Amino acid sequence: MKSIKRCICNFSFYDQQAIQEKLEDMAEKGWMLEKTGSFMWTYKRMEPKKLRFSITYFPGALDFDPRPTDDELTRIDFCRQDGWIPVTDWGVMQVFYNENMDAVPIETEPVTQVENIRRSMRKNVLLPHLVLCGALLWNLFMRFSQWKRDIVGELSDPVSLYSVLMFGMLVLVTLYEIGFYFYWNIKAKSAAQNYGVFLSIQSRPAASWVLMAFSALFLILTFTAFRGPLGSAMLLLCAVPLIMVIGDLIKRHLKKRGISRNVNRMISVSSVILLTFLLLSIITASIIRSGSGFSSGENVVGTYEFYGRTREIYNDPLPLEIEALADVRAQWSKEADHQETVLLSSTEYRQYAVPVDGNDSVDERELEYTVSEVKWPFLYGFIKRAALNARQDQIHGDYVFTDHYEPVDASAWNADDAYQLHWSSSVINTYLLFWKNRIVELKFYWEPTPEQISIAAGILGNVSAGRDQ
Amino acid sequence: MPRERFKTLTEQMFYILLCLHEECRGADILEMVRTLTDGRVNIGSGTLYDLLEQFVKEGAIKETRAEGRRRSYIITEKGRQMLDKEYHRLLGQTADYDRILRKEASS
Repeated sequence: MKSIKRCICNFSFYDQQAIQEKLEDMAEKGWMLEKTGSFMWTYKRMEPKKLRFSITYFPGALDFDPRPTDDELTRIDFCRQDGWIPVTDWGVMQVFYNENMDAVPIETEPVTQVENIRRSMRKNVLLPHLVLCGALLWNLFMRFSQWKRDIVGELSDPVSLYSVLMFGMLVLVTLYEIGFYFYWNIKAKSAAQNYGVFLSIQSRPAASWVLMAFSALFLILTFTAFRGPLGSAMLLLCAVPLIMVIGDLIKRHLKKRGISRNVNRMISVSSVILLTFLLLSIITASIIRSGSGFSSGENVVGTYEFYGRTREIYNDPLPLEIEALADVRAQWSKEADHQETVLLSSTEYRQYAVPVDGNDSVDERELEYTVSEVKWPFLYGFIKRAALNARQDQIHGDYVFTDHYEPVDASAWNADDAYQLHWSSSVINTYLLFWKNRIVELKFYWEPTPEQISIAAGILGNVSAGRDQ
Repeated sequence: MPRERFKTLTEQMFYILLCLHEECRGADILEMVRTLTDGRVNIGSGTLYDLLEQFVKEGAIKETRAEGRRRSYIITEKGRQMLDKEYHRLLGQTADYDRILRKEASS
C-alpha cells in the first residue's frame, strides 16, 4: 500500500474555501498534506480523520525565505493557542489543521482577511501573472507582425498557426485568472467594509482547465507539425516545465542551505533567465544547423558545391516547369514545399539551374511560384487583401521607395484578378493572381511572352495546392 | 460608501483596545476577550495578530516588551481616543433606542 500520494493542485491560489474542502476531504480518506508546490501537492498516509483545515495568508512571508520569519512564527504561536497546528506553507500561504471541529476560525475579521489576500496576491501571484501575460502578448504581437508581412505563409504553416492559438489560449487563461481575482476583490472589499461579511471565492477552475486543455491541444498540433530536428522539438515541448522545475530546485536547494531571501531570489531568478536564453539558443542553433530545407527532401538526386557549401539537387514534381515555357537546356533543381492547416494550404515551388563549377550565371531562367488555396470562403477576401497589402511603399521623408502591386489585365491570365509588382523604379515580372479560392504568386526571372503567360495561367489556374502535384 | 479604516471600530477591535488598557501580552488577549464577553465575542488568532500589527502602525497601541516572540502591548493616547469615540457612538445608539422604543412601550 503506497504511503505517498501526489495530486494536481487545481485551484486558484486565493480560493481558501476550495483548498480547505479538498484537504478536509483528503484527511477523511486518510491522506494528510505534506508538501505544496506549483503543480503537485504531496500527501502522506495517516489514519482517516475528520479534521478542520484553515488556509491563511501572511503577506510578510516570501517563498524564498530559508525559514519562517519571527513575525510569521509569532502569528503561528497565536494560532497554536486556539489549537491550530501548522501543516506546511507555500510562500505567503499557510496551511493549518485543527482537531476541534468547533474551533474559532483563524480569521474572523473580513476587512483584514480581504486585505491580507490582496497583499499576498499582489506580490506572489499578480506580478508573475502580469509578467507572463506581458511576455505572451509581446510574443503574439511579434507573430502578428509577421502575419502582416506574409499572411499566406503564416496561415498555412501549422507551427505558426497552432503556436499562435496556443499562446492565445494561455493569454486567455492568464487574463481570466487576473480578471476573476479583481472582480472578486472589488466585491469582497465592498462586502467586508459595508456589511462586515467575507465574500467567499467561487472560482471556476474548470474554465481555466478547459482553456489549458485547448492550449495543450494546440501545443501537440504544433509539435506534430514541427519539421526541425526531433531533439529541438522535444526541447521546445519540455522547455517551460523544465525551466520551472530547475528554477524550483535551485530555490529549494538554496532555502535548505539557509541562504537569505534576497540572495536566493537573485540567484533563482537569474538562473531562470539564463536557462531560458540557453535553451532558446540551443533550439535556434539546432534549427539553423539543420537547414531550413525548402524541399521536403524526399527527391534528392545529387549534390553540388556552391561557395564551399554542399547543396542538394532535388527533383520534386512541379505543376509548371520551365521546360513547358521555353526550350532551355540545363541541369535543374526542382523543389516543392507544401504546408497546410485547417484554414489554408500552400505549396511553394522553385526551379533553378544548378550552377556549373560554382558559376551561377549559366542560365538566368528561374521560376518561383506559390499556389495557395483558401479552405473557408469567408476568409478569402481577408487573405486577398492581406496578400495585396503585404507589400507597401516605403516613405523616407520626400523619397518614396515603390513596393506595391498594381492591377493588370486579368483576362490574359483567365483569372478573376491579376496584379503585377512595382518595385523600386521598375515593373517586376512578379504577378499576384486570384482565381475562385486560389491565390498564386508567380515570379519569372525573365520577361514572359503572352504565350508563356497563357500556358502558365492554364496550368496554375487549374492546379490544386497539394503535395502530389 | 466604504467604511473608513478605524473611523468606527468593529466589536473585535473595540475589545482588543479595551483589553490593552493595561499592559498585556498579545496572545493573552484571545482568552481575555472570551472571558470578558462570556464567550460572546471570539477573535480569530490570525485576526488578533493582524489587528495588533495594524494598531501599532496606526499608533493606537505600542509595544512595551518583547521576550523572544512574546510581545506585550499597551494602549496609547490615540488608541484611548478611538475607544472613547466608539464608546460615545454606542451610547448615542442606545440613547436613540431608548428614546424611540421605550417611548413607544410607555405610551
